[in-house]
Amino acid sequence: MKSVDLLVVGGSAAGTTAAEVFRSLKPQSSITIVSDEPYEEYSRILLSNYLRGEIARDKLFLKKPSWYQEKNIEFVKGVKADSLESASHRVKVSTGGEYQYGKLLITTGGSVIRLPITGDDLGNVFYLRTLDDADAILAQVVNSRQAVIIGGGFISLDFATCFRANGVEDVLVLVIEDYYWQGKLDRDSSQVLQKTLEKNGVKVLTNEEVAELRSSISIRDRTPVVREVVTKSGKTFEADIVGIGVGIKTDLDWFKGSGIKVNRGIVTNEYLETNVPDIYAAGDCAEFWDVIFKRQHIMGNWANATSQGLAVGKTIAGVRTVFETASSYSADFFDRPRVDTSRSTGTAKSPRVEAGGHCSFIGVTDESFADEVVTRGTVAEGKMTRIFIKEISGTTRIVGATVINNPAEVGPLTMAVKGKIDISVHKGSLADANFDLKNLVS
Amino acid sequence: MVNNQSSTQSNQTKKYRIKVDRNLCIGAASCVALAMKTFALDSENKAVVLDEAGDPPESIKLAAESCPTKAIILENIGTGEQEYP
Repeated sequence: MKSVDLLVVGGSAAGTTAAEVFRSLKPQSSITIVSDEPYEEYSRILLSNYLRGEIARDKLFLKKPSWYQEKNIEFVKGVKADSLESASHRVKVSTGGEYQYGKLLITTGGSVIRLPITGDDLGNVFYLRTLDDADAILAQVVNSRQAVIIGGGFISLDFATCFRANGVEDVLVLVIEDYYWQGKLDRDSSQVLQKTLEKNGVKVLTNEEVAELRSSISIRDRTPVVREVVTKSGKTFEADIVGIGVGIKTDLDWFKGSGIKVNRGIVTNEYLETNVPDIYAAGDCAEFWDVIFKRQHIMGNWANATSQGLAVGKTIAGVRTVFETASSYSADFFDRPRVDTSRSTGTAKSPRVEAGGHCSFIGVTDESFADEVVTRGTVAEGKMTRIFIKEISGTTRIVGATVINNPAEVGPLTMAVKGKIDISVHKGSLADANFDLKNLVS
Repeated sequence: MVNNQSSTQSNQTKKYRIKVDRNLCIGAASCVALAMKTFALDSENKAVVLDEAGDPPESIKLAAESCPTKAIILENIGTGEQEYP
């Protein structure tokens, strides 16, 4: 059994940042990161660009093996944590090894939710979360002509953009809901997105629940591959590649019995401390007490994971730090500016393709949490911003926003959310598309 | 170390010349989260440099390393060499 001062389970943004910050404050302590992925830290954000052929694979990596050596951090890759005994401070891992930790940080992120249907394990059926997933998709997409995407959301947009960018002629999205990305967007914002998809040759069918994926035998290697997608309404769609994006979940099973309080994620306070001494959680898996919105909150995005890593790294090292950040998450689809690998640092803007799209989620975009939602833009204009307003402790604040095809509004809205700015004097103007949102924060 | 609270003057030693590659920046804002006196997002949701010495050099380095598109380039003023990426 190996004894370490800090054991980090999970090697992406939150875990790596926390380890680095902890190291800077505790030069003599021992640190081990255990990651279930077989790679040093890479950028999950850039998987979208990689899938579109915009960047080379080696550009994905954020850390080289030498970085871990320089920081004196033991990096154990391709290994999962199997069980946790919190009383004796022990974690067993999938290789059979065992760690005795002083402090334990859980940054396991999420894994894809699998669709409970026959055929989701066939060849040419893909989920998307990891670099291995992206590699497998790229190896197949060049041989594909007809794609079906199941689900509407960020991953669905990534699949759609990847498939079209790689020359797949027919791309169809099936969503179970009444409209694309219902649950996160209102109907109008969804319409704006869907129009962008359609302009790019992607069809969307709503109220279609997939019943089964049927197979044929691959001519190339005699393995069963997907041939058609059958829906519960009885429709059948031919497909030689299928992408599934129906959400992610946090694996909470491996530490069952340890006493850690869980809800949808690992419940923590504003210091990212769990209810069990010496155990912390950060990143997508943490359901933390959000001091900005005064509620438990799961925020699954890169900036959030990174800044939680910073805060929790300090806290674990004894500099107890409240986590307080309002993060946003943005994605471009179809029109991502070409990534210039020559790294010229000029300020020239990339030309944008007219038909491309952009969407951002800022803060809490939950209608049941807000007192009021103000809409800017119209479906006809192809832009839609929804601003979520709530009175908290006597201040009328913007607590969140969804921004479709209007990236210029993301900056001021994020600042307004983060700054807890009283927007009562501007509230009546927010719906006016000519009102410059920069006035909120100037 | 002098900890000057003046808002008109940087209170940190300037170690880096900082460039942001706007073609790469996607507005993920992890730099802003880690070094908020150094970086901000502009009206196009791209990172801009407010003050090359807004935060301690180690925070600026961490901010650059956290960028998921490696859009932040740090040049060490002392040596004239690119330190990151």
